[in-house]
Amino acid sequence: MENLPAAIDRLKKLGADYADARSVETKREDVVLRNGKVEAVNRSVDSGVGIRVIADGSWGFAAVASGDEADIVAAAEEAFNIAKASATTKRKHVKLGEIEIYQDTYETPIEKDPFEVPLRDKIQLLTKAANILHKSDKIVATEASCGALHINKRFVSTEGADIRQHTIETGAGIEATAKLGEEIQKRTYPNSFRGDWQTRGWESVDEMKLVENADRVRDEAILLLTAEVCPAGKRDIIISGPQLALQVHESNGHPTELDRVLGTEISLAGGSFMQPHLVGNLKYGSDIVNIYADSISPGGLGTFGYDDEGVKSTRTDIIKNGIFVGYLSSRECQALTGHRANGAMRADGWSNMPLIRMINHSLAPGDWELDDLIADSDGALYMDMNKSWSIDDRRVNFKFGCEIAWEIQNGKLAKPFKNPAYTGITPEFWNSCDAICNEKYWHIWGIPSCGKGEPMQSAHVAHGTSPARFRKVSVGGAS
Amino acid sequence: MKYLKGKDFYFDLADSIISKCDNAGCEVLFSNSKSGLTRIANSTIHQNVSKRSTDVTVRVSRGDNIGTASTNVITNEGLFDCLMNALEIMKSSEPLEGFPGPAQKAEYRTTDTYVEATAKFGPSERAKVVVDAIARAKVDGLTLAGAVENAVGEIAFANSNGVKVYQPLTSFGCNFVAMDGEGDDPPSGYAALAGRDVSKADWKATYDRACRKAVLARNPIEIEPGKYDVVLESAAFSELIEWFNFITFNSQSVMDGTSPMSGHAGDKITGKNVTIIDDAYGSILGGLPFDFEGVPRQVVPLIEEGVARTTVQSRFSAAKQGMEPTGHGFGPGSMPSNALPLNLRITPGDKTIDEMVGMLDNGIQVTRFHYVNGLLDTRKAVMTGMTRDGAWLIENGKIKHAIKNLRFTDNMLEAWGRIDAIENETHPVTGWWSAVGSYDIPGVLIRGFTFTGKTGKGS
Repeated sequence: MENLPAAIDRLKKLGADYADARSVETKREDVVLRNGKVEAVNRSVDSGVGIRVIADGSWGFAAVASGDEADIVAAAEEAFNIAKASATTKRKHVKLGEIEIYQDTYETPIEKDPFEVPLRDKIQLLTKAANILHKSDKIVATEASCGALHINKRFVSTEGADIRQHTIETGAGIEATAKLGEEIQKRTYPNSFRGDWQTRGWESVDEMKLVENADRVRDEAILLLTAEVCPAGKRDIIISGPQLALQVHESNGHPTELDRVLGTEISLAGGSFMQPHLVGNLKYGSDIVNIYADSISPGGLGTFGYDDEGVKSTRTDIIKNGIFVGYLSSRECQALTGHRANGAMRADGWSNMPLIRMINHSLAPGDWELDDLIADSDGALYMDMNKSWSIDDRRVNFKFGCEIAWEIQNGKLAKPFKNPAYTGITPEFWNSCDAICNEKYWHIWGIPSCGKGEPMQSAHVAHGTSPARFRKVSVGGAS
Repeated sequence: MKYLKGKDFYFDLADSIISKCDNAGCEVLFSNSKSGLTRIANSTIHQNVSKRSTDVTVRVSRGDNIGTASTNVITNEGLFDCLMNALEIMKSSEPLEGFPGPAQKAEYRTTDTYVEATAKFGPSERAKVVVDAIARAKVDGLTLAGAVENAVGEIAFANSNGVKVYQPLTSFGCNFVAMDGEGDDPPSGYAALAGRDVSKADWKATYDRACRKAVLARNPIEIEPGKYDVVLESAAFSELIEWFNFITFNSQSVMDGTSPMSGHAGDKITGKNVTIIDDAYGSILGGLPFDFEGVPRQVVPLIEEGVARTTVQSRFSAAKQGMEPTGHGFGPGSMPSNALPLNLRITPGDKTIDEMVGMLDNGIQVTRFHYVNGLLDTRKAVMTGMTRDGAWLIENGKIKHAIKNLRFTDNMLEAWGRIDAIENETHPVTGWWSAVGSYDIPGVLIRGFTFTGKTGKGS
């Protein structure tokens, strides 16, 4: 960390137009129980330096797993030479939008350091939950897991930025798989694919109440074994918070990444239907739909002090009263389009170049009580917990599978259906939203595995959501 | 060989770690790589990156107690801290009943996975490919996107039973998407290439193919979803195979009962013309001759003539089921019960893509799929996804029209019972583990493939 300025000094001497250097040290611990037994406890340490350069008007990037000054300077020179090679296809000079330059520090506020919680306590908690999950011979597999990350970063630039950040992420989750003959069903909590994660300490795991929810998770997995397949048709649906988080992620988060809109992801992740001429003009959703991006919401996996090009955390409206109004942007995109950089440039570790990534991309709460919404939705389906996801390369046609759908009868969740899926067209779907639950049901869900870019990068992003109702959606059974 | 540190470097470090592990069983896995990638969009390089790193993972075990730690700080202090972490976990964790400990010495076959020319390929060479590709696209008035990449690396594994294995690797790949016009959904064409020897790369044929497809994709019409006979080119079929591999042949999925193979060994689960083998030695790119636990990698027939045979095993998954490991474990740092094929090979048929297209009276030819997901109902291998970068309506064996993108949702076990023809050659496709794994995939003709929606108006 202390040798980072040597890279900047060297690149200034070489004549770089701009350069920044970023050191990242990550400490991680993961605990996984399978079928009630500890299958893996892994601890890892990973550190290195990534250097980004503009020379001859083009980008170069090099990364090295070393903190030695000589290695860092060599990587800086390599990045400079790569930028020169990039310039062979240059159509115009890369320019960066103006931002305020900071020398600052940031630290995740936590109550209980997850690395200070004894391993035995973590195992004990997960074992207790797993033992409850296994209280039926119909349960054939379970998993209980927890993990924590501690990330130390320093960012310096030729513009004088010098920012140090210490962030902590903590997560946990449980799942139960039930079997009856050829039928297999799974339920998870508090979110699928290894649970929920937050930029908080171990207190976030304490609040999850894994043990208290294990009976329900087990029983619902078993219940699904004899449930009917979700019938096909047009139905009103209420989407639960964790499933709606992924809906926001795929149908609003990705298509509003401005680099993607401008074509830089076209060969892999695809483009976006949310083109610049639609800003201020596209009726993306109903009047009650308000979506915003921020890096300041407490606990969000996208919460930090500064992004990976030194832009201070902020909040940006993306959808305002149903109208598309803003993008996730970067300094380069700011210079190209005028959409201000809003703290969304993030890299996966030290070895990757920052891209525009989601931060906390959230649906603002509405004013409904959940019980009232369910009582108001006779005949509708309550769809819970993501099982599968797919969306086209312009983010228009989507199909999501869920773990369970409950048919609402007489104002209550009554009849479960297995293998439910729903499909739709992004703006049609969001314009059919007519009710959103209030802040009491709003939670910021962490997704620690959002893929984008070549080489593939994994980002830790979050979505604040509360359950919401959508009218006349195409639903059916996945099989 | 200046990019490589060589086996002696790693084995010396491993000896040093093993000597300090307090007589516990000890496994040490090294992975060293240097990779570069040049990315194009809007016919210009927008990202050009290089990275290098060496990672080490140490797993210690005493009886059923294990501990694992990893680091990329390759110094005496960094390695010692890593070992101490692993030992501490081993002492304070709970036992994993049946953990078999480190592998014993064995005989290993060899594979050729390193080519010096690929190791030397740099940003200037990648830029040259890109410049030529952009110029070719311009001839047809097309805009180009994609990436050109190459990597050099080495895997070394040693354990306290004296196992010491080492393999150098190189790989290269490219993908090009040529687009006709602006807007949010221009007609486009795709082609990709993968290999180990960059000197044999036919870059020109690859970007030329993407451009020709983009021209053919002009003026697409919208067609209604429904059942169509399809010719899936290898890029499209590989998306399905990659998911099928993950949900079907993963040892953990089989044990959990979520795999279509669970409880069906010996049963016919696909059409008779489907044979899938994991073969690190016979695959086009070649794979590692050992797994990350130091076990010799075996050739494993997974599905033979439509009949489910067996799945691959790690040492722990094998021990749990009373089987022998097949050399497909992921080793220290991964879940001990996880094993997965990395070198799938699908037996080719006897038709060219053009011949299969000629067999369609009213069907669709698909270049590739986008965002396939195979988790809808894993027991039946139900998958969904979208077409992209070139699909055509075929009538009476001829291309009638380019078509707009469609969503498919279908049961792959049933669909693969309707495979009517298979391409007479396979194409190497790099998967999620591109440096060490690849799939050899042909194109296929499937009757009655189910499309359930369309872009903009789907269901």
